[in-house]
Amino acid sequence: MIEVRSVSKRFGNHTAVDDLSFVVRPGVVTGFLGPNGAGKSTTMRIALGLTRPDAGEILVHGRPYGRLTAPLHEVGALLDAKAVHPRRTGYQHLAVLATTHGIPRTRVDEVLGMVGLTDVAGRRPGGFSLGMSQRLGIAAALLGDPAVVLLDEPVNGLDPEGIRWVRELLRGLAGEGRTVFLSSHLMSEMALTADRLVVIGRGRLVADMTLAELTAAHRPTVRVRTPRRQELMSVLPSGRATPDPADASVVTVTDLTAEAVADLAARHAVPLHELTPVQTSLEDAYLELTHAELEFAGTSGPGRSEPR
Amino acid sequence: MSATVLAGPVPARVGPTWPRVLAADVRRLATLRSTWWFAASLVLFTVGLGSFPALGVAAGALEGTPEDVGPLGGSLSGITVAQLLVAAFAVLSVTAEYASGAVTSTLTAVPRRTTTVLARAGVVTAGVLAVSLAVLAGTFAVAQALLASGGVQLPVAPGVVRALAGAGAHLGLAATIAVALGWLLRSTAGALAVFVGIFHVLPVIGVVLPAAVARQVLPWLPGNAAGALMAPEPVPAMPHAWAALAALAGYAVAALTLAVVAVRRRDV
Repeated sequence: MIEVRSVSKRFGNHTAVDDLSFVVRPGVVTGFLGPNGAGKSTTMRIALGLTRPDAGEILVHGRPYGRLTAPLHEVGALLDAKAVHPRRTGYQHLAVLATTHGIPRTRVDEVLGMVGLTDVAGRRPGGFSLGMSQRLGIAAALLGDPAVVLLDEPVNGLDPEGIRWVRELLRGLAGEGRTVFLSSHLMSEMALTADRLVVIGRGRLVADMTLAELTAAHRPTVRVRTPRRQELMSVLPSGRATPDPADASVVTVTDLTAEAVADLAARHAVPLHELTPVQTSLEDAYLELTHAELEFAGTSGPGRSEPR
Repeated sequence: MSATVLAGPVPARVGPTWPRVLAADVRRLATLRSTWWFAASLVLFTVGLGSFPALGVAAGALEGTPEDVGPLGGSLSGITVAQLLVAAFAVLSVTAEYASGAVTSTLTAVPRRTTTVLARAGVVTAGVLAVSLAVLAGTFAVAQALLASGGVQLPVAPGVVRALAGAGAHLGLAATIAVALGWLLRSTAGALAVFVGIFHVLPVIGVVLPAAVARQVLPWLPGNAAGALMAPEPVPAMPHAWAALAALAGYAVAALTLAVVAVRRRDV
C-alpha cells in the first residue's frame, strides 16, 4: 500500500508535482501513466525518500520510506537500470545490497535465476545491454522479497519476449497480494499489464480509475455514409453529428452506438451505405485525457526535462 | 517463470544494522578491481620511493653517515605520492557512485544517510590506515636492511616509531577528509582539486600572511600539521606530534560533519 498525500515539488520555477494525491492498493497492478515530464519519476523518487517534497508526504505501509526498518524487505524499487557501478559484477552488485539487510547469498543466486541472468552474473554491467540492465534492476528489486514493488519504466529496452516476461512476473506478484506500481508513458503497454491506472499530467492527477472505467468513460463514435446526409443529420440529436468536410456523404456521430444510429435511420427511412463504429482504443482515451495537460504540446521551449 | 519462489516463509526481518552496513561497504570496495590497483600502487610507490635513498647509500652513490640519511633513513620519501593515491581512492569511493547513479540504490537500501556517510568514511579510513601502517613499517625495514648492507646502522628509536605511526595516521585522516569531500562535492575532479588545495596550496599561499599571523596559523594548516606529525624529532615552531594529530583529526571530524549535514539536507 502506497499513499500519496497532497505532494508538491518544485525545481526552480518548474512545478514537477502539484498537489498530487492517490493510493496504490495491494493485489493489483497499478499503472502510473503520463507524458514525458509529467512528474512520474519525481513522484517515485519522493516515494523512496531520495527527493524531499515541498509539501505533503508519501507513505509506504503507513510510514515514510526513511522510517522503514528493513527497506529492501518492504519496497523493491527499480528507478534507472543503468544506475549501477559499471565495474562491479552483476552478482556482486546484488551481493552488496543483500549484505546491508543480511540477505543470504543463496537469495542472490535465486533472483539471478528468476531474471535469467545466471550466466552473465560474473560480468561487469558496464557492457550490459539496456535489456540486461533492466533484468539486473528487477533482480535487485526482488532481492528482499518485498510486499511493494515500484518500477520506473521497467520494459524500456526489453525485447518482446522480455516485455511479456515482465508482464507475467508483475501479474504474478500482484496475484500473490503484493502492491505493484509501475510507470510508463505507453498506454499500449499498460493496457496489457495494469488493472488500475493513475494518470498524471503536469504533475497533477488526471485520472485514477480501472482500465474498464477508462474505456467506458470514452465516448462511442460511429462513422456513417448516406446519400441523404442532410436528412439524417436533421433527425439526429443536435450536437451529435459532425459532417465530413471532405466527403459530402459522410457524417461522424458521437455518443450514439451504431445500433442506435441504424434504428433511427430505419425509422425515418434514410438509407445507410456504411455504418462503422470507430474503434476507440485506450490510447485514444489516454490522449484525450492528457491532451489538455500535455506539457510540451505544440511548443518547443527550452528543454525542461525531469531530473533523474 | 513462476514468481511463487518469492512467497517463501518470511524470516525475522531486521534491516540495515551497523555491522551489516559496514560489511556491505567492505564488500562494495573489495569487489572493485580499482581498489586493488590503488593498494598495489600504494605499496609500490611507498616502498620504491622510500627505499631509494637507502639504495643510493648501499650502492655507494650517496654519503652514508647516520646524519646524512636521518633517523628514518629516507623511508618517507614516497609519502606525498602515497597521500595523493589515498585521496584519489577515497574520493572515488563516493564520487564513482554519483557518476554512475548507483548512489540511488545505495540510499534506497540504507535510507539513513548519516549511517551511509559515516560507514563509508569509517571503512575507507580503517582500510587505508591498516595498509599504510603495514607498508610504512615494511618500507622502514627495507631501508634499514639496505643501509646495513652499506655499513650504516639505523636504530628503531622512539621518534622513528612515532613518525612512522604518524605517517600512517596522516594517510588515514587524509582518507577521511577525502571521503567527506567526495560526499560534499559529488564530483571526482572537484573533490580532488579541493583536497590538493587544502593540503598543498594553502601552506604556499599562507606565506603572504603577516608574520605574526603566519606564526600562529601556518603550523596548524592540514599540510603542515601532517608534516609535524611525521617528524621523527620535534621541529622548532611546529606543533608537537600529538597536537598535530589532534588538529588533523579535528579537520577530519569537521569535514565529515559538513558532509553528513549536506547529504541529509539535499535531494539525491
